[in-house]
Amino acid sequence: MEKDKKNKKDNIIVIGCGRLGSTIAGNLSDINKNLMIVDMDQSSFRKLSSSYGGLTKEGDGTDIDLLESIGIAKTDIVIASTDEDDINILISQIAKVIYKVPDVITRIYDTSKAITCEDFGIHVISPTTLSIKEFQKKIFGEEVEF
Amino acid sequence: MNILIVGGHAKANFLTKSLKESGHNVTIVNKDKEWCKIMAHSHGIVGVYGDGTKPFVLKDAGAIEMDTVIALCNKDSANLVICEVAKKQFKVKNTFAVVNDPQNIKVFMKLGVDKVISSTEILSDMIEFEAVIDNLINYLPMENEKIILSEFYVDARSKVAEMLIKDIDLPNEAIIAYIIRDDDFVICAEGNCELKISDKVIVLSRSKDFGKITSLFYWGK
Repeated sequence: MEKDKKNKKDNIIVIGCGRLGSTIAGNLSDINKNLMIVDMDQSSFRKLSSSYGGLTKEGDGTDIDLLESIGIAKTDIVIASTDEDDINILISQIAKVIYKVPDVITRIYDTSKAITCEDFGIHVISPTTLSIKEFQKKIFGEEVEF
Repeated sequence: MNILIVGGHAKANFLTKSLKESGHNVTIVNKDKEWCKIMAHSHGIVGVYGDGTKPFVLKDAGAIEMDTVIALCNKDSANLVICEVAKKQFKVKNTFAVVNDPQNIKVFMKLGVDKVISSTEILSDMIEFEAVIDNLINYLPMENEKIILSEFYVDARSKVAEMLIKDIDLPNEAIIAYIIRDDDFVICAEGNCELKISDKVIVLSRSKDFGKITSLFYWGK
């Protein structure tokens, strides 16, 4: 099953080409997925690895016209990885609710804002929560629920 | 009603003033500390300093007690988050957002914000119509542009000039509500009223019929 998922030729849109976005896009492109990465700033595409084989698009990732022009309606996965929570929330909700993208993953730093995405079936990744878990693992030697 | 206004400077000031005058209980949240103080002093309201997209700031502002939350920030995404947090976490019934990008009106409504307004859209609508139709004085779309309230000027070229209202070929569901003559003399329009040159006329219509209405008041004679 896991292998199938890896071999499937998914279309993936990554919005926000920071450290997270560029690394994910590079890794996914290396395992032969169709990638499109969007960022406001052309120069941020320099962060992509040299082996990146996908497309890049300069522009505002919350703009419906831009999202349609890069085929959001037919994409399989959308990853919102800009550095602003509010922008990530807006992008992921547009992708999930308006364009019914099957898998939408968004990064939200401020965990208290995750409530906005709860009902929509958006996967929320919170760096804070992840770090807390890791710290606790290091301290207690295992995962402890608080 | 308890109303919370998040963000905005001039808009927040004006809204606060008019809402206070109509007897509502207003609280504001603003990122600008000085502005919070000024607003609190000049209107005698509670001003909470902080980023309104953060749930704890809204909580401090008493969001749980609010009947309406109005989001006036410059960023569309911030206004969405404010409205959604208000709705989902604090169970606020009415949420109201201002957006820059007119395309976000439909998006925000679909995502659950109750009312969405775009000043860009209002402006572009007005420019568009006034450029095309000299005789259109006012234009106000309602109910997501399903209904249009408009005000026309009758001049010698208008098809309807010197016609009785009952003889005008109005679209079925359109209504001529008032005639304004000599700038202050308001007549409740009836079938036997005649439209004179330099009258102003208030019309209520469906937006699909608006093109036909404009053709009645413009040229065509």
